[in-house]
Amino acid sequence: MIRLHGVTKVYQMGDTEVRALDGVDLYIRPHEFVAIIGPSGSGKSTLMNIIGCLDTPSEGQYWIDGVEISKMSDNDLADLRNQKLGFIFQQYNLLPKLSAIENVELPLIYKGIGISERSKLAKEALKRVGLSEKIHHKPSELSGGQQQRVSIARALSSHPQLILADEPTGALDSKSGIEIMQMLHDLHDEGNTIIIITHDLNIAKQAERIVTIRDGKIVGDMDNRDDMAGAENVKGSDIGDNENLKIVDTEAGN
Amino acid sequence: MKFFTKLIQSIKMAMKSIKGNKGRSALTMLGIIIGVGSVILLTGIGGGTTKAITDQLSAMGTKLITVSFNRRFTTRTVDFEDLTEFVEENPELVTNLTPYISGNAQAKLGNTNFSTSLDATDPAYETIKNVSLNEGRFISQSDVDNYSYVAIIGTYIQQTLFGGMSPIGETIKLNGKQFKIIGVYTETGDSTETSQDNKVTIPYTTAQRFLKNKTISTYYLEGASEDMIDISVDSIEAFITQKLGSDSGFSVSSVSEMLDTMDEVTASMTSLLAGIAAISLVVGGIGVMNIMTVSVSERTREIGIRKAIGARTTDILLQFLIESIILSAIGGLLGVGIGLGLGPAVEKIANMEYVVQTNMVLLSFCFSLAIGVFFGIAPANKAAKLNPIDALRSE
Ligand SMILES: Nc1ncnc2c1ncn2[C@@H]1O[C@H](COP(=O)(O)OP(=O)(O)OP(=O)(O)O)[C@@H](O)[C@H]1O
Ligand SMILES: [Mg+2]
Repeated sequence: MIRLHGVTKVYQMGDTEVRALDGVDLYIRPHEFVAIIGPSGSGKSTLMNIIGCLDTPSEGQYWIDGVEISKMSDNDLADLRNQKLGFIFQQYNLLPKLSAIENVELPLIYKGIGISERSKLAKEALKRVGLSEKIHHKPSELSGGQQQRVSIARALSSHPQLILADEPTGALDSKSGIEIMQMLHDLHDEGNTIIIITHDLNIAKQAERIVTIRDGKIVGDMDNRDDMAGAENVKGSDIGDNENLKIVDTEAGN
Repeated sequence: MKFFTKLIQSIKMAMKSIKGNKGRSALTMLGIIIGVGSVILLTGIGGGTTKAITDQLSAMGTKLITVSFNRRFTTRTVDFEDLTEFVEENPELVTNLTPYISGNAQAKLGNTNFSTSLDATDPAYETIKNVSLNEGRFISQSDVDNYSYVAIIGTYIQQTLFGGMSPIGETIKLNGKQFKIIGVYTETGDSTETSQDNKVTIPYTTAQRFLKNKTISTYYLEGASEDMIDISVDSIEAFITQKLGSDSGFSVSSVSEMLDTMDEVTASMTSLLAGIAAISLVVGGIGVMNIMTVSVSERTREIGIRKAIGARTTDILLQFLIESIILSAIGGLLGVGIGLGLGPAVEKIANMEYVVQTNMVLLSFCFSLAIGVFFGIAPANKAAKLNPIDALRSE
């Protein structure tokens, strides 16, 4: 479904250049549940933005469903984000002036779906995330967990194939985090491809596959399907600097 | 269908954002409101002035032709008989003719003594100039034939000398001669000494004798039909030129000719006013651009989110463009309301006629829409071209 080849992202900061991604090769099959982990500043979000077609690589190639992204027009990319991708951000990224249902309807508007069909789909999506009671609340009238659920409903509403979540539980307490993860699992069970970025090893371990990134390079890629058999192979150092996990970094050098 | 759905949605979103920023939106619209309002108001005043003047001219009769001689011709002359002959021979061009002499006279009754304007003519004048009398009668042919000392007086004289009582049959002294009053004009001004109501009219034959001046320098003619006035004027000109052997020293003019000139003058006056008002509309447009630019930079993150979930460049462009158009359109509508609403107030306060120029109302409203598009394009384009990730990262 997704293939990256030699993807490099260079940021020019005055005289110095930052290689946020450095020759990343990655292949993600349909229906996979992949976690991407790595220390802060390792390039996880940069990778996610490129996969989500929000950003373009400085070098290398990237295909979605066999189409190379650099060959697509801006409008095609917008349609691709609209129809194939669903984003869940750490900061929710809801529009503050719109109600929950209006936020969820937004991708459907850009899809050009008529008003009655739209509100039906949006209500369904909000029902799935358990927010049927709060469809007319503004984001500011909802808790963080509820806001994240609205953003999941928004990502779901247009039935995308690939859901991209950049630290979806990062700003939430553990109980809300568990609820959000359960929703992602349900989506996965329904056949969606899911890529999640996380600092939290416990969350990473719930994925089928764990990709580790460090200094813009992929340094680990392991299968995690056999009832967590491989989980032991994930080292604290792969998670990096997250003190909250209280994992002692024994092998900093790797 | 898809475009239509998106369009309706864009309009809804634009309304929402305008409502969400009421104070700022109102201030932005102010420029447009003043611009459109002043276009309508100024052209309305211009139109009213034109109408007032046109009405006055039309009241003189649109078929009126004036012949005036402005220098004395010694060898060859055109006199009343010549023109009478012309009228009789050309009934398809002109139907009526009257001589007209004007001057001043000293009016006196008892101890009251003042100067008044005096004119002299014959009975045809009454129909040609649509004379309207309060009471009595106008000059008759027998008055003319008999060199009668009769006079029609204005309301100023009636009020000054007769205290508003009916003066018919009374006498008045003009330059020392006794005249019998046979009629009173309807008030045309405000019955003061300097108004048109301070005047007397006597038979022209009497005047020729009384003023010891035989020349008649002005004639009024009535054209046979309004459409053919130009031909009538040309024919009279040709006739007089041929008689005099000269095409200078006299003039033939018609009211409709004056109306045409009038129209030209007021048209250029109106476009001047519209031009001035258009400048304020452009200034208002710059205000719209300013607000839209601020709005785009404030909402960069919103734009990023919209793009992330699949908004096309054109969707964002449309959203901001529609917002700026709606802003200008509401401003334009309010301006139209104010322009139309203030009209009657101006009419009362400034005592002017006010005639709304419908085409200017439409034009200024369309202009305000065009301003919305024109000044909205740049900020909307800026928003649409934002890179999704840069927009998302901004605070
Ligand atoms: N717009 C930018 N301009 C310059 N440098 C950038 C930009 N975005 C990211 N970087 C740099 O690229 C590197 C990777 O950043 P990225 O946001 O991908 O890290 P991350 O793995 O998501 O970190 P975190 O876990 O803290 O979110 C960092 O060194 C960062 O400073
Ligand atoms: Mg990040």
